[in-house]
Amino acid sequence: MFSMGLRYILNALPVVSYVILLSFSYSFLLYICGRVSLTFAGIYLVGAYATVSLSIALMGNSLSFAGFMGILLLASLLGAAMLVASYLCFERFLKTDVHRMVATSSLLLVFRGLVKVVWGTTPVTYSAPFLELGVSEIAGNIVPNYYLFMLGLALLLMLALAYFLNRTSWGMRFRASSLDGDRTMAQACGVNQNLVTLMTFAISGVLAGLAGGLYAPIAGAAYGSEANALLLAALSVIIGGVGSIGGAVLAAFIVGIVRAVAAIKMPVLELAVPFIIASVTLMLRPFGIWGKEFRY
Amino acid sequence: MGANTRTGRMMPSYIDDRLIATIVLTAIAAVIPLFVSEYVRTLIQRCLLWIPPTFGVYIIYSLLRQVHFAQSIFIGLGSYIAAFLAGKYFVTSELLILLPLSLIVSIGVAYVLGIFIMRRTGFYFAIMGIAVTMAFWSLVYKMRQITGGSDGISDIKNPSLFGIQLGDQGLYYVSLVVSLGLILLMRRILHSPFSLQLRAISGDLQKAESIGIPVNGMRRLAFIVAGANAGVAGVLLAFSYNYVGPTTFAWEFGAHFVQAAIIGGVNYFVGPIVGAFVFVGLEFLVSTWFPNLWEVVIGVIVAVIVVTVGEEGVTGIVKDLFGRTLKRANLEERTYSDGK
Repeated sequence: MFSMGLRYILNALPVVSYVILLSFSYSFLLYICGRVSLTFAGIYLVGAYATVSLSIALMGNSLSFAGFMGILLLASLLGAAMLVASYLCFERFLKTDVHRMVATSSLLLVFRGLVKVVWGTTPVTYSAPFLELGVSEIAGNIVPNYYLFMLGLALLLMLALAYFLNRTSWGMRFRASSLDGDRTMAQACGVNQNLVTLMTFAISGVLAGLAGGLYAPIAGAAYGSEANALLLAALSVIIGGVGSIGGAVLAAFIVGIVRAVAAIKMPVLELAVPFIIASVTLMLRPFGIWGKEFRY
Repeated sequence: MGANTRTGRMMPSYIDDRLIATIVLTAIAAVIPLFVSEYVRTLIQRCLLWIPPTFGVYIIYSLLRQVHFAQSIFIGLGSYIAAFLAGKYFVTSELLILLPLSLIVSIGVAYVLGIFIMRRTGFYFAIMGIAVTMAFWSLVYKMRQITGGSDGISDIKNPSLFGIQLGDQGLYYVSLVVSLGLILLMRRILHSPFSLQLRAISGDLQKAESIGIPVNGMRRLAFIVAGANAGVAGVLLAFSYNYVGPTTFAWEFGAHFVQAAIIGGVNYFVGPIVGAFVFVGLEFLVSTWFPNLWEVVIGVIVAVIVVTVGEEGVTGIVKDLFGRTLKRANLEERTYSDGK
């Protein structure tokens, strides 16, 4: 029984890791800037495709793991650049939440369409890093090392972000401008709000691009996978609570593991189960398991 | 009551320019299939069938200020009811059975979903809507034995009405009548106390609660009205496309109705009608020349419209350009005034 449970958890690790990154990318933007943006799913898709294409173009069959890390870095920087560009050219003109939801969902469709134009609808895969790292054994279960690498990287980034937000002076400026603090007051105290917003978008873009790049060697880059990503990440934010790092990790584990169990036991309900969890969470704790009450 | 005071002409007061415009447009829609090719007729039929679901989005947007991405659920339910009963397990193709059945199913599903989805507003509602569409999508996609999986169900025979088998032209007229009937019904609803209560809710929640408006019930009722519209249109859309697949449930399909409503302009009652025609027309025109680009083009257009004119949409732009001409026709029936 225990080993079965452990196997489900180990199989769920890739989804858990990318949902951690992606959901925090969304909730970070919402928490610091108070901006709803669905563009992150488009960045995720582009990140996945960019990673696969770059890997195939630059490395081909001869894989070096350092090279793959470099490509992941490129993909996350590309994500940051795209999200910042979309903010500068477009999203900063949106004044209300309703406008933001409508416009960014259109923007997501635009990203999707552009991916379709550039890469087509056939999924592309590059699984060399996944195969290269080999497997290890945990309590009788064989688990690919890449899964552990993904989870480790995601948790490490979350820890780094928690340190940045809670222990550094720039983090204090971020928190002062967030939904917890007071934007106008922070501005009056000399915190450059434009810079904070730009940096928030950049960090959010890094997380979204990295999520796509990290998950690509396992699932491949597939047109249409952005809907899955959007769903899991956004529901994790609802479950975990807006702006909470612990909540993002916890909710990603809940969603990922329950989804993995459902995918094997009741494949029909695979995507209904996260929705049901989110509904129950909204009934019991309207602001998420770990969330505080904001104006949302 | 002799003279119509607004137009200053000697006419009974129930005849005004708006009524005349409606009659003229309906007459045009009624005679146009006699002059155009079959392809164009199908296109116009599709535009007509896009109007009711777009009105659903419009009601939620203009009265409650929420974004309703979940319209594709009800389209999908209606479509699959039509596909099962008139296609795969041929039971009946009688529209008098299919349409009410789809209406009842949509209302039931909307009632149950409304309990979960309408609990919170803002991005919670939007995201839960997307989540529900995806849940339905995976359900339909994976129940391969029943729904045909990703292949969907094609080969849906044309329906019959009062036992008479309808041709393609007959289907067009049924679509016209249904969509016109729903438009008139929506007009009635928008001038009812129900709509005033919804506006009060979106204006100030606390005030609305304190004067005794059942906030949650009213929100859920709006969701049901929107869903019922889409459910009815879904049946006819299945016959129009002659194919039903899991993509009917996909979230981007629901988002397209939001885009259509925004393109038309949610400040105006004619907005959804204009939006449906512009959206389907654009989709057709762009995909004729660049098959892969229509989503990009429409997405960019919606984004630009949201940034520049907001809720005014194409209707607002046209009104500004030809304001003097349209002032007489008095088409600018405002349904929402921005309080904030």
